[in-house]
Amino acid sequence: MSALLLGLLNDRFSMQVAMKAVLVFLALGVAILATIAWTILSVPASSSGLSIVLRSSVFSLVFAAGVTMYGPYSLTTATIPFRYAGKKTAATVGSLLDGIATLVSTASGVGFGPLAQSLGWAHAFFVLAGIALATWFGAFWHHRAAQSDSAKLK
Amino acid sequence: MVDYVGAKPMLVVSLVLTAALQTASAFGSQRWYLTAVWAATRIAMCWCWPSAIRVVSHWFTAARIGIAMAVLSQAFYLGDAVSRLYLSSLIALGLSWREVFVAAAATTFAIAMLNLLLLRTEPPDGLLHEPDGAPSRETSSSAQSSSSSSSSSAVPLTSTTPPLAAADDEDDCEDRLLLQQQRPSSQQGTLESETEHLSSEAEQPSLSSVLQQLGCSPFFWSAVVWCSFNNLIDQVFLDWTPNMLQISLGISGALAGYTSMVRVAAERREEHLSSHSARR
Repeated sequence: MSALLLGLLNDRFSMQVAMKAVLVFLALGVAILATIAWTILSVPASSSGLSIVLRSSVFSLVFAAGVTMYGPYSLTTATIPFRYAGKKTAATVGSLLDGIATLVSTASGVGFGPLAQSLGWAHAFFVLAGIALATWFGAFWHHRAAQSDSAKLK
Repeated sequence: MVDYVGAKPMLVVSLVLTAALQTASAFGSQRWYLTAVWAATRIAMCWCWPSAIRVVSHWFTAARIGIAMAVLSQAFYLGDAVSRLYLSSLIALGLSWREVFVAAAATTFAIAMLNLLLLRTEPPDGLLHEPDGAPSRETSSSAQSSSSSSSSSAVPLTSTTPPLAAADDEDDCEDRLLLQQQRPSSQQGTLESETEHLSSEAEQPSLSSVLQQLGCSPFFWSAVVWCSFNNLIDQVFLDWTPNMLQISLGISGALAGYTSMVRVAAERREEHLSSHSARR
């Protein structure tokens, strides 16, 4: 849903508008993941189980976090290569972008497991929120870089 | 390679290689063998996504590329879910894991042949038009700001004066690069030296020049950083959320799987069916 919305914004308005929507989505994602972590941590360890309301809330938040995170990712690997490089070299730029990102995330993902285990699984969502925050800064840098490139080319 | 060899040959080669490696997976059970074959399979599969990007970028104009790419990227997840359900149903029918690999290889090979026969990587000249009726932002702006492209709202992308040729979107770096790509050479000024390799419509830029420009582009590296973190959160969230929910909330594995959507739910189903068939 979010990918389609971002694609629509990109087509109807501009990439800059879509990027602003990306920043909003990612900021929401950070808040949602932090809320999930806080919700899980707020449950006493001795409690026998979660109420149906709390459980439904967590599930809804997980769904919302997915919505906010997958849309921006589709924009990076699909639309940006075309917008940046044009149709002649979109595949080259796209594969480089996705290839480097996959290598980096694979290497980082190896460290995530021990980190989550040492901190405790409930804290893993805080780590996820931290990664989402880093994603937001990456998108913000990209947004600014696009503007500065424009300024340089003028 | 996709940009230089072509999307269709690379896609077909990728799928045929993948099918061959899937078949090879059925003929070994040692860990090192399966690891090596799976690593090779992933390498063979890696040409599919760039091929899809290239095909879609040739079939759609800049005014529609956002939604087209969004649908394409969703097909990645949808196809993943459908294939897991398909393979799970094969296991449910009583096929062994080796037979499932062979069935997957046969399906992949059939898809490769379908692409070989049916895939058109580029539209015929004149087919790719802007929508009739309400003009897109590119065509409307071109009509207002340039006489060179004001004759029609339905100009093929392959033309030397496409709708984007005079689009007035100067604040958008990506649009500027795209504009540069599609401008006639007479309209290109000092921008040409910085973008000619990436943007030339007439000839394919060399790989070294593309890499050189990407290497010194803050735009590209910022996209890499953003994409890396986004990819990391995508992987962690998709693969590990069920475990995290299961352990931290004490809910059942199946419920955790359904919470994180179809993919992991299908994995649970596969695990269950695998253990079931193993018991049998």
